[in-house]
Amino acid sequence: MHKILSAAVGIVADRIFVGVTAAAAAAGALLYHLQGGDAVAAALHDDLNLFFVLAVFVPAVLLMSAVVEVMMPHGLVERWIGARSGLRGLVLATLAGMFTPGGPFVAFPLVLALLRAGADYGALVAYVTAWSLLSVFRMLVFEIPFTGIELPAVRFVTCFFLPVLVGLIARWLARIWRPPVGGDG
Amino acid sequence: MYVVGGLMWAALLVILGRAWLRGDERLGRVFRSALKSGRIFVGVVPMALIAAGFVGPMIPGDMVARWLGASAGASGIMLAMVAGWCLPVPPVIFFPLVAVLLKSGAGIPQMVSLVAAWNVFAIHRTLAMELPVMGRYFVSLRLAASLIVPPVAGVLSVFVVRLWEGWQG
Repeated sequence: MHKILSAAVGIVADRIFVGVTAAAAAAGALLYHLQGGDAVAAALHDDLNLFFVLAVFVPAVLLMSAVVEVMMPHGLVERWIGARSGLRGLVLATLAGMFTPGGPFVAFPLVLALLRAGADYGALVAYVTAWSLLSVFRMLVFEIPFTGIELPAVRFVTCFFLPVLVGLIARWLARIWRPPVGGDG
Repeated sequence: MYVVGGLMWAALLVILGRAWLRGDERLGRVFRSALKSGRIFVGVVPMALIAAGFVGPMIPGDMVARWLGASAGASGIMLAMVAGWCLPVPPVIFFPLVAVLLKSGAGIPQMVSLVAAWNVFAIHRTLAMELPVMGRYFVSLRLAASLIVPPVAGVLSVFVVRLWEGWQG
């Protein structure tokens, strides 16, 4: 009971939560002032449908992402990005980026370690691009519930090959614009 | 969307059920990790949704349609790209905003450009995490190589949307 209570306090005391709540209250008051109580009620009613989607969808995605994080064979991502062979390396890095769960605190230290171990810039750039542009888990928990399926679907279709292209450009750029020797500041 | 959700629950049932039957000790770590990353979905996300729901009806739809609508074409795609570069906000604020714009008449290609620019540039993430960890060379190389992403994705989306709409009749 104490644990549940302290978790609840943690959620409410969170800075972002306080800010978002204040924004919601201000927007609600303004809407009431401009368009009256019916508009406020209609907006809240529209939200209900989204809450339902979130309640069904998000726990599944979070669990799936945790399964990938905990149960994926260790070192698989490293092996994929580290693959140096031409286009194949870029494609593997893209796939690894798409399925890397978690935030930047997971991804960037890994990229740095691989860079120090001698992975090629093109593959690392492709990996970071895929992870930020096509992260499957971010699309599932944020993009689809909020914006509906059409935008993410079009975005996925038009973006899935871009990390490879960006990686190729980075590889080419790194050839004319040499990386700093012996570390980077 | 419910089909996707149902499939995921089914797959999870199989994976987690098998792990449970085998007495896999990683199961606890799976649940702890999911709970940890799920925290914002209890408080912040529903509140952000409520805020976006309130803001939506107040957005002047004709203005959004003029600047970011399908008829705004390439200039709309470019404008959306610049907006995406400049928005230092986390996903819980960004995606409700995109949803509001979409409802107010923004075009899909323009929103593809916005989301793509925000994703690859992500100024909050770049400055806070990537720059200190990876250094200037890596960040500049990545950003220079990524410049093509929003316009290419946006322009391609014009054709994808057209094909899709043609298909549906």
